[in-house]
Amino acid sequence: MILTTALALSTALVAAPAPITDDDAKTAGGILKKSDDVVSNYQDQEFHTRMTLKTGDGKVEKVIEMKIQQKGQNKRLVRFLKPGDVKGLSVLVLDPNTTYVYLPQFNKTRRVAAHTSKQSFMGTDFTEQEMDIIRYDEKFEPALVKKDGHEYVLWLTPKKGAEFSFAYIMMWIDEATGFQNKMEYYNAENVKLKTQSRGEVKTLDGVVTQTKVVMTDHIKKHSTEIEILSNKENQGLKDDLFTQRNLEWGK
Amino acid sequence: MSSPTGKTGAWLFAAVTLACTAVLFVVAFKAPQAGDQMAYLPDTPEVKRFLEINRRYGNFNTVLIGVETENILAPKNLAKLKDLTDAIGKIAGLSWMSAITTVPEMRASEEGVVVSPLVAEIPKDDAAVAALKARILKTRQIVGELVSPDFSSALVPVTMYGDKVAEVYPKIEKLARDAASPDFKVYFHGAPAIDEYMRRGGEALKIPGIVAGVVFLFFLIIGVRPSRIPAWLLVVAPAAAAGMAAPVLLKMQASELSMASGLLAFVYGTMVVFSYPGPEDQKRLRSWRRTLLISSIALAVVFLSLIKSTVIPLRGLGVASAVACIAAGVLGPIAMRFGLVVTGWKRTDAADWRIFPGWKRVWMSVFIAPVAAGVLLATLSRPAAENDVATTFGPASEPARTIHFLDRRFGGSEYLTIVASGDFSHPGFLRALDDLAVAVRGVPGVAGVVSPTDVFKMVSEAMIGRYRIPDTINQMQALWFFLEGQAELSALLYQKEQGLIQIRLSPDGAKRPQELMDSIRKLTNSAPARVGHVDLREVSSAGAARLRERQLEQAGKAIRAILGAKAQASVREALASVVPLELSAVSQSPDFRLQAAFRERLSAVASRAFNDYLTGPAALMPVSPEQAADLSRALLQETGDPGIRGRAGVDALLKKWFPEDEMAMAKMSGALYDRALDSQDKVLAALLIEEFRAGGVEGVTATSEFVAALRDFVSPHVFVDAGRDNVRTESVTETKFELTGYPAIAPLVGSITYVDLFRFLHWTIVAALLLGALAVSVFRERPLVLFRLVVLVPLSGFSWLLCMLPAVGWALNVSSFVSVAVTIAASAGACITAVASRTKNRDLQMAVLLTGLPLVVMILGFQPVSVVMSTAVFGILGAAFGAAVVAAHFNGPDMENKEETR
Repeated sequence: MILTTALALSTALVAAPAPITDDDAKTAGGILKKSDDVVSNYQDQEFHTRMTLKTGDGKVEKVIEMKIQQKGQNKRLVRFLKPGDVKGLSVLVLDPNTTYVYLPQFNKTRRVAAHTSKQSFMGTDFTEQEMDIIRYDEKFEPALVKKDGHEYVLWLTPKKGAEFSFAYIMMWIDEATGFQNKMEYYNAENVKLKTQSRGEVKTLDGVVTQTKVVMTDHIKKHSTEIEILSNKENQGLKDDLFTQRNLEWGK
Repeated sequence: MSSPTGKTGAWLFAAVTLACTAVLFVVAFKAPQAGDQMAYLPDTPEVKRFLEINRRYGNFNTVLIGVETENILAPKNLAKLKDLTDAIGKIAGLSWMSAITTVPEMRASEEGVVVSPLVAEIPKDDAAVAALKARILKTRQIVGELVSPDFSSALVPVTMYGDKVAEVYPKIEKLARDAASPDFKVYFHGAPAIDEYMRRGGEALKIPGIVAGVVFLFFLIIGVRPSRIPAWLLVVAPAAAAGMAAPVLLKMQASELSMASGLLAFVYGTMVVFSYPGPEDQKRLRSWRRTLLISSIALAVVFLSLIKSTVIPLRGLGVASAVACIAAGVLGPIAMRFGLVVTGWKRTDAADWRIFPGWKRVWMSVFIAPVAAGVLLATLSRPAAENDVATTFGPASEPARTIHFLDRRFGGSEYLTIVASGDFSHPGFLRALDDLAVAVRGVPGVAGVVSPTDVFKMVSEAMIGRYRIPDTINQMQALWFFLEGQAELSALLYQKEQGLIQIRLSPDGAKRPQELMDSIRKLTNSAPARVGHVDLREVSSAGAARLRERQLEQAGKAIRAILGAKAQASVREALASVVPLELSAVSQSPDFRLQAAFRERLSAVASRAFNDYLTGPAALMPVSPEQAADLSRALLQETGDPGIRGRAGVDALLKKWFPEDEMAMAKMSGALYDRALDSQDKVLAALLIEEFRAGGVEGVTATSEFVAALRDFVSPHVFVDAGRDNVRTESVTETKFELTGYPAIAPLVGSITYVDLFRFLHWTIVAALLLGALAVSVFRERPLVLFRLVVLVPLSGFSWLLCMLPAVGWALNVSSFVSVAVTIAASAGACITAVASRTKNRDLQMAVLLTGLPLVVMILGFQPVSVVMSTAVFGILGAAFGAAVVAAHFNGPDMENKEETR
């Protein structure tokens, strides 16, 4: 179900850089772990993001804006701001198995427990499965392919038992910042199916971070662009923000 | 023609010609090919709409993989199916795929919804299989769609991206074929499967084609003057290239059919070259050139007239072949000279042979012409089109066996489609659509209906706990949030503005499509054209009462539609008898919300009882008198009115609804199950009202509460026909429902591609015959040119055969593809005649051989079995017949055994 993942990818973008040291670079696992640490190095976050869906010829199909509050790796509150027909719709994720959706149009809150799938997330080029990954080292076995200039190129294959619809990912990690700059998704026949590019490094609320990601589906000839418009980290968000009561009342 | 040119000029000519030929070939083969079977449909508004809709929803990119086993849920079979679908799912280029092994199961409860894979793991024992079966039965849109009602078979619809079908489909088919075994049979249905089947058929013809080519070359080498081969190349290759490139240069749609003009150029060019009398005999040379020019123009005119065809590839064929003929006819006399100079050939003598037939034979032709014309006219209206798969491909063919499988296991293989246009965020439009879908389910001959509203109701059930279309636009928009991006929806919905109701016809319904379509069109025509929203809380009591009355009428209609012929007229009256009480309660209630809440509770109770009853653990529909009585008691107890009598009434109604002969089907039919669930509140109300009436109970207030369980009756939000109801409405939306589908256009396809084409050819030949007879009568002194033009060319052996084909085709029930093959066959026959009239016996025989062999191979390439068989046989017979006819006419004793001197 689409809402269980709740934009983990967007949260992964907002990260403070840290270089890959020689110690980290001794193994592919070390590189990936360091990079994952970089992208998940926060206590809490609050940010405003915009997703733009585009056709192959660059025509904008849809724009979605959300405000996301997150504490730790699991607790997350998402409020939809645009488009108007979903304004007010809110999602509360307490853990991977506990998600509540508040539907203002019905004045109802429903609990949703869903198995993540290969379905597209709201028509974007991200599947729920892809968006569910915050730390790649938990789900993939890395191998160092080469060092390409200032980037490490890793070959990631799903760990045994990990469900993933691609055969492998090629990941480019920036040596100086630890940022994951690019990912290419391949099937077993070595056909490149998607490319995810991250960039536009800016300083938001004092934190240097990548603020833009573009996922391109080479088969569908479609792309999705995510921009981080504003970001605050480590504000000390309280636990009572992440409750059903706040989900309904805090609209 | 002047004397032969010098060698330098000849070589220059040859070089320039071959260079131009190479360029034209490159152009021709770069053309986008209309390679799919749909390209051969006629270009009419109905067909255009059919193609547009099917392309928009990816239907032509969808293949239906059928799997037939003894028990698809048996662990071994289910594991095999899961492996297969997992493997297919990994292929790049799939838009979406659905199967019992991939779909999610949604379990809704008061608190929320749990979504998990329906088949998370393969069941290991009988108990687990039974549990899985029970869960499948409870999951909507599975039985009858992805698994057969008898659980022997499964369907896996797979949709590919349009530009990936050619690349992806063979991989899918290979995976499925690799998984197949005698107890795990696989079938393939849909446009990609048919295209692949035809392509494979073409592949299988490679060896016969090579053999035929070798035979042809053998005859060419031993029977024909080798010195003419370079000249032959200079005629045939440019003519073929010009013909094949013509549609591209003229920006017409190219197809395999226009490529066939290459063959025509080959045949015609061969005739040109090998009938060349040589440069010395100027008199014969002039006659040859004149005949060539006339015959090429005549053929070109005949082919160009195909530009009037409604079948687009036939237009391409017409232009391409006309260009090829003209090219061969014009290029021939020029190229021959230069070609022969290049090879150093020089004619030393001229044959002494007559070319003009005796007058007796001419008159014989003149006599035969009206007879042939009479035959044509008599058979003109006889051809009937049969476009079903078994006729086209043969009853034992793979496509025909697939159809049989779908009919046997899933209750039908043919689909009609209602294209619904309107605002898919507007509940009023969606209710009109839903009502239409429910009504269509009740049409005899309809095996199943899938409506986009089913999807909305399912999401509504998941997200707000009610299997119904929401009341307001805002609520609908919220539901859309959960739907966008779901690839499966692309088969049913297009951008919130259009959707499809897919109607599966039963085998019986498919046999009488016109009757079925008429019934469905009546329903689409009676659907409201404009739907508006009224909030009853904001209108007067009188207005509310009037609207309730109208709602009641609609509900009565819906119930009658649900119950079909079994519905009693009394349903309307039964409802009417209790409605005044309800109207009174509603209109006088100070707090509408309380009324609505009370009704909703009752509705929920009734729905739950009915659901439990239908989906008990042991069977889907354990309908027996005792159980019916239990249901009746349960329902009546829930009303809180112990004074109500009437279990016998409910029992009787259930029996009427599910008569004994339908019980088995009712237990297993997903369509019927869905029908019951979709309409449970309406059906419950009808059942109870009739029950109360049968029991002599009138005016009981509890009855009115059950009437309130009618979905559209309890809500303050009423959607009215803005075109008919005299009431002020808000948020009016337009609706449009139109019926399409292959059964809807099949008569057009048959009548236009087959009958009309034949008619066109018939009239051409009739005119030629009669004009020829007239010409011979009027121009006795110099009839040769006109005679050849209007009589000999069409009156070849193939043309004679063509005269007879409508009758033969009608008698043998051959498919419309014959028309295409016959067009080419006729033209080839015309070529033979044109040349045969100028050549001698040996060349004529050679011409027949040269024409017949590649023609048969080419026609075989069209693959459909009936066409292959019939046309191949006709082609060979026609070639022989043509030879005999022409030889009898033009090879008198004075012409026999005259060998041309080299």
